[in-house]
Amino acid sequence: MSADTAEGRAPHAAGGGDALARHVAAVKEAWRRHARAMTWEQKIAAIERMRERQAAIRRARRPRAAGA
Amino acid sequence: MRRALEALLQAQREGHLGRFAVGGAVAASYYVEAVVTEDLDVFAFLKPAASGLIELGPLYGRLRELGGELQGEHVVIAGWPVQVLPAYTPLVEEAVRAARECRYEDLAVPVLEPEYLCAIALQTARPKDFARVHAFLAESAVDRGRLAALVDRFSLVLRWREYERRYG
Repeated sequence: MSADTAEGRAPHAAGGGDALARHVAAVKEAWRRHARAMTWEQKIAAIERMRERQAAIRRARRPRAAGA
Repeated sequence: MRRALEALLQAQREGHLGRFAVGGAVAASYYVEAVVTEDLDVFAFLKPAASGLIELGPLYGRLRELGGELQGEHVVIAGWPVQVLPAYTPLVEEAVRAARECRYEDLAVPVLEPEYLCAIALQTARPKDFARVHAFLAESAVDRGRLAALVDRFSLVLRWREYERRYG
């Protein structure tokens, strides 16, 4: 989802902190609506994707930690 | 996930596993927004061995035959670490008995009810457990009257107050 408005500018660029806060709240609410509408299978698939990302992050950190 | 659930249902059909229900974050994800979790928690009634002790060995042995791999306290099936927890308290026993059947694709999977998930979370009382209770209440995914009755009946009033102190 793009952070820009229909006018082509991010809301915080146009209206300052309050506009940014409203924009963030709207994006979060839209995400929550989407998340509530997901089936269990879709949620499990989302959990599996999150786990894969976390595992990838752990793998990426390991050689750095070992080399430190 | 499907292969893990299939293996559990098959082990139950074969008598290696008694009545069981999915709990933890995977069960919670049936009712509220999903959060990442490392494993699949399963609460179950297990038949005691001749010694009278509960043994997970025979069940885990069968789950290995069904494609699982033992890793510490888990059996990893198709990438999902499965932890079978014997129904160990009156609350968990009642929760497993009251579990509802939920559909996962074409499988009928027993899942703990939201009020019991919250009560067990209050009993466990780690920070992530309080967060789970909050998710259920924030999404109105729990019957507050039923939860209050469980809190009262299973002596969780102090834990509930702790939750309210953190999130109230």
